[in-house]
Amino acid sequence: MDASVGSFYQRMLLANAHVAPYSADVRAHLQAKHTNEAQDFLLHLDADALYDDQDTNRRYVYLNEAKAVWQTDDATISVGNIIGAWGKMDIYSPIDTLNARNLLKDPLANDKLGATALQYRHYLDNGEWEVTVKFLETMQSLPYTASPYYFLDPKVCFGDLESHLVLWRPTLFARYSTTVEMGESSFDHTFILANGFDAIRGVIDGGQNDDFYDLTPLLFYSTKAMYAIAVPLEAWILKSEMALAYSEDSRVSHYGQLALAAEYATQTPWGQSLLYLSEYHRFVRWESTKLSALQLMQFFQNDWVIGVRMGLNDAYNSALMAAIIVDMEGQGSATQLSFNSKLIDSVSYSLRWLHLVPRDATHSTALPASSFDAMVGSFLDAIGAHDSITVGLTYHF
Amino acid sequence: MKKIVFLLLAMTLGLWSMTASELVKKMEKGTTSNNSVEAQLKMLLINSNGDTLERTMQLKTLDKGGESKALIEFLSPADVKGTKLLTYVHADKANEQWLYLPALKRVKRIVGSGQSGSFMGSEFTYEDFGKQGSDVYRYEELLQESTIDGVEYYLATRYPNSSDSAYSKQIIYVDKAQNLVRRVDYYDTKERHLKTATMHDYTSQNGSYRVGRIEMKNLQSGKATHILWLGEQSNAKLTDADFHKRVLER
Repeated sequence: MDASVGSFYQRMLLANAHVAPYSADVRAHLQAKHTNEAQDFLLHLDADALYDDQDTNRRYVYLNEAKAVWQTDDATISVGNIIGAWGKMDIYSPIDTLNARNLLKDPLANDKLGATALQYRHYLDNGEWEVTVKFLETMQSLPYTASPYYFLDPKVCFGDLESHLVLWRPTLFARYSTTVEMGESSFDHTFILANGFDAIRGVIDGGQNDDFYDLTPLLFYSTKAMYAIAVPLEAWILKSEMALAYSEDSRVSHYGQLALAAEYATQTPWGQSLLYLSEYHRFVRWESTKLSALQLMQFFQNDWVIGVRMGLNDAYNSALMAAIIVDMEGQGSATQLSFNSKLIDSVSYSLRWLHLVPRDATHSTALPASSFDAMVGSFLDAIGAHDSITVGLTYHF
Repeated sequence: MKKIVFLLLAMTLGLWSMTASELVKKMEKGTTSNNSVEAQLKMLLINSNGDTLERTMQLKTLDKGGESKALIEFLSPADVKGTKLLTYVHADKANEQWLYLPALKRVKRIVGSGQSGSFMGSEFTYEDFGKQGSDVYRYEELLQESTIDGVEYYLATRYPNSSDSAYSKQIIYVDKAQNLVRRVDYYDTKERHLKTATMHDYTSQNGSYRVGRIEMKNLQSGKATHILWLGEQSNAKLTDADFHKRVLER
């Protein structure tokens, strides 16, 4: 059994009357595994708790993973709350569609919420195939609008879920991954077919109330075909992911997503490891009259991400990371600088500076006075201006 | 006449002295076996002030002639527990390595110069855990000889074939009595002496020698890493299935 308890403090550097000047929270994580003697059955528990001192929305205990697993040499059957990692991208993966993101812990991080599912995976010599049935669609919550963790303008409120859909309609996933040797290189391919709830969430206009805009979350069904490839070439890894979705909702157009990435690993003359990363993301909808990328809460419509990770190669695994997301159509951008290390072997710490620039930097929000629906571009255009530092301290048992 | 005598003497010495190729064959014969090994390792990270951090790992290896597979899983400390490194060493192409990061539940491939980076903050690189066979290096045929503390050594200089290597050359010290590597001097890409590894506590198992402890000292930073083999089990009956990529996520 492993556990950790940490505390995080986020301080706003940008004065905004609508946003609390700071947020402080306590986070706990517990992981336990039990395997029988024959090692063909195991129980896996991964629990996550958050307690914010002000924001009651940011108080929860989640069983992100709580699953029973039967395994043979060639196959694995899992049932319960499951987390999967199908994508190859580091910043955003269009094919990583099994799990919803945890928007309460840190909306810009990649924390996942477990999917209640039954999964069968069969291993082959050079790959695997898998069938997953997700029984219940995961509902996501957002921080309170005045929280520094709320990434939209505080004048934008989310209402109740707009859905006539039954949350327990199953979503089916079929995946096949294989590695194909070609000369000295090997190509990793992943094919996924999905039918059921789309991983993308939409928002529709819920009307204006005084000075606030109401947005109503929207779920929809789709059938989606996804593909990913990764090719290592000496110190490079070239990656691509793509998705084509056929929407069953008249308000949502059929759409496509494309991600291209290049990763280059090298070292400084002083021995630190460097990983350069570049990702390009494109979202295209078939019918321009239907919900836009912004309304489908897509951070990436035509955006470029550049990042670098420097591993200091010390005993504390210290790492410095910098990344910037640039909106190729609007003027919005997101910049993040972070550092992770340890004070002693059982105590780690993290520092982060986050700087979000909306489409119109002269306003605290990019939203026009008219309506959210009138916006074009990506979700990045809808964010409010944000400038903060976050300090975290975690004790590992 | 003097020249002819000198030439004959040199030829005679050449016929009787060992070449690097012969030495490498003897070394590989003495330490390689068609065998699978399961061992627990303790890794001590020692900074320049002498402060020590401890990590424990489980190591599984499978040797098949010129090819081998290795799986390392971290057992402690808590924040890196479950991290796994899988290495395939091929006879006819570059090594392949995958790192499983449990916090992200992701398998990350390590490529090119990534392999010359530090392994989990230690003084070892991913490359050091890769293949050490004769096809990875180009050897200087002429061996040097030296006696240190009464022990006689052959000194062989070898150059990595890979342009992504962190090293420009290595000098290995092989004791003449048992043909075992006792020390390796690593030189960085600027040909400065970077690290020295010393091998201790060899044990003979089924006709093959296994090292019990390696101490790696970084001469430029003053830091050191010791790896100790605990409770090694030879002929562990491991198969290719134990090194399939599936084991990373299990």
